[in-house]
Amino acid sequence: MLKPLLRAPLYNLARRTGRLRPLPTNLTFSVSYRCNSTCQTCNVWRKRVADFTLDEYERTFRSLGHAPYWLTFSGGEPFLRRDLVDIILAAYRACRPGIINIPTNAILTSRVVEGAERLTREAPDAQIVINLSLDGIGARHDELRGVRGNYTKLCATYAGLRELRAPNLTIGIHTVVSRLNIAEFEALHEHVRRELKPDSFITELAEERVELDTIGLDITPEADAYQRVVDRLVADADAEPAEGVAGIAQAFRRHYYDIARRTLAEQRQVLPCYAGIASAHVAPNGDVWTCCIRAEPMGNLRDTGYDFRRVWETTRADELRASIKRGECHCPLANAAYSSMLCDPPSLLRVARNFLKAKTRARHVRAS
Amino acid sequence: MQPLVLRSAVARHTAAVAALPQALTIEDGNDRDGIPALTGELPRSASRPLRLVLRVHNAAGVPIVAGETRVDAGATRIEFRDLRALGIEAYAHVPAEERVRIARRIWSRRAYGVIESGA
Repeated sequence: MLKPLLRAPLYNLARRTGRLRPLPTNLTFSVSYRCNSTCQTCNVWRKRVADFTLDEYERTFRSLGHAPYWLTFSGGEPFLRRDLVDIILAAYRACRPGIINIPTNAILTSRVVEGAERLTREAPDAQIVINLSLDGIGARHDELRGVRGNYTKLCATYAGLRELRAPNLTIGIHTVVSRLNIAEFEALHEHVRRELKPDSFITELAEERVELDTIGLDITPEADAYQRVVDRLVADADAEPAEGVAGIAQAFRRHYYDIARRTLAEQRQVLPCYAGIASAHVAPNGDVWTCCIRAEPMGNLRDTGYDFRRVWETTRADELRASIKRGECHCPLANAAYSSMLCDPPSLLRVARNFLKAKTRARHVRAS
Repeated sequence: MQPLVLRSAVARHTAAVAALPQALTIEDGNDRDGIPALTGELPRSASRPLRLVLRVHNAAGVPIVAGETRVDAGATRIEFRDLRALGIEAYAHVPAEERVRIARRIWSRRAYGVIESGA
């Protein structure tokens, strides 16, 4: 956590001046668009491109050096790639990240559990975060994600991951809050808290993204309805205040929910966005994007001999950063928002205040 | 159909060559690929040949459609006839009519356009 915080002033300066181009600390790699879910809130499973090979990833990771601290390997469904763990371990060896995050639909139970076991063993200095996507309870989850039996498989995967008891494994539940499930959110949230009890529960707004080809799908909930979700999440955090590292994560999450709510209501860039500066996204074919919302290529790694810096320093990359800085786009994308919060001094103050308040509440809860 | 409103993001060297229109007309019924052609007139003729790049954005400012055109020196007519939905290349494997449906869905979210230029 210290590494990105120490680099934050550098990113802040880069955004202000537009002259420095430090490599990003937060990188997402979509390893394939292929997916064995057919979600009502996502069309990525319908897309096809020529995916990077393991060798291409290894060359890219070497060019990044130790800059990335937080790596996400997403898709499509990342575990559909049989070489996923080899790709991630190549990143671990080359970049030495502190956090490796893998979202999954949890359908391929044995592959997810065996993969997590190998990752926690062979990448001992990284926190491995496996986030299982859960959008409804039971058959409703299956319906939203277009796969019969998905919920049962998710529960089996969750149980398998729990049995690993690896100290560097975090098991999370990730819910996409859309128009389709927002009315059921309270019940779902309660179910997660009481039945599954994951290490973390994160929610994200369903958005119209170029990457997922959801532009034109009416999936984003109304601001008022989302406000009620945020109120509920905040109330629960207040009732169960966390301490230590979990408390810090909770303080960030609380601030994120407020940003997401305000972004939806005010339709503007509430938090100065550091996408394209502190964070970036690499598409399965090697296109480098500032983020998956805009999904506009700065360049392609195949055209630069897999040298990330050469893509990062193109004129197009500078144009995209300038456009984002001017506030020409706005979104509540969680992944980019967290690194933006780290680089934004007012946000850090807010997070610190959230943390201290929670600490005080925790003391009261213990005392009572 | 309402014209596509343009926001100014024109490079200085373009402004010196030609002023740009405030909006582009949507050529109704001319959307075989799912996205119609867009046309407009420069307020005064271009003093040099121009390459214009159009990006159409949704209400969140996210570019969703793009294309480019050329304007000859002395001409005023702008025509964007080969606009494409961003990311549509990942649908090369689906039938053409399916790609048209996808492009129409994306086009339905248009909010405004921005023209940038090459020399």
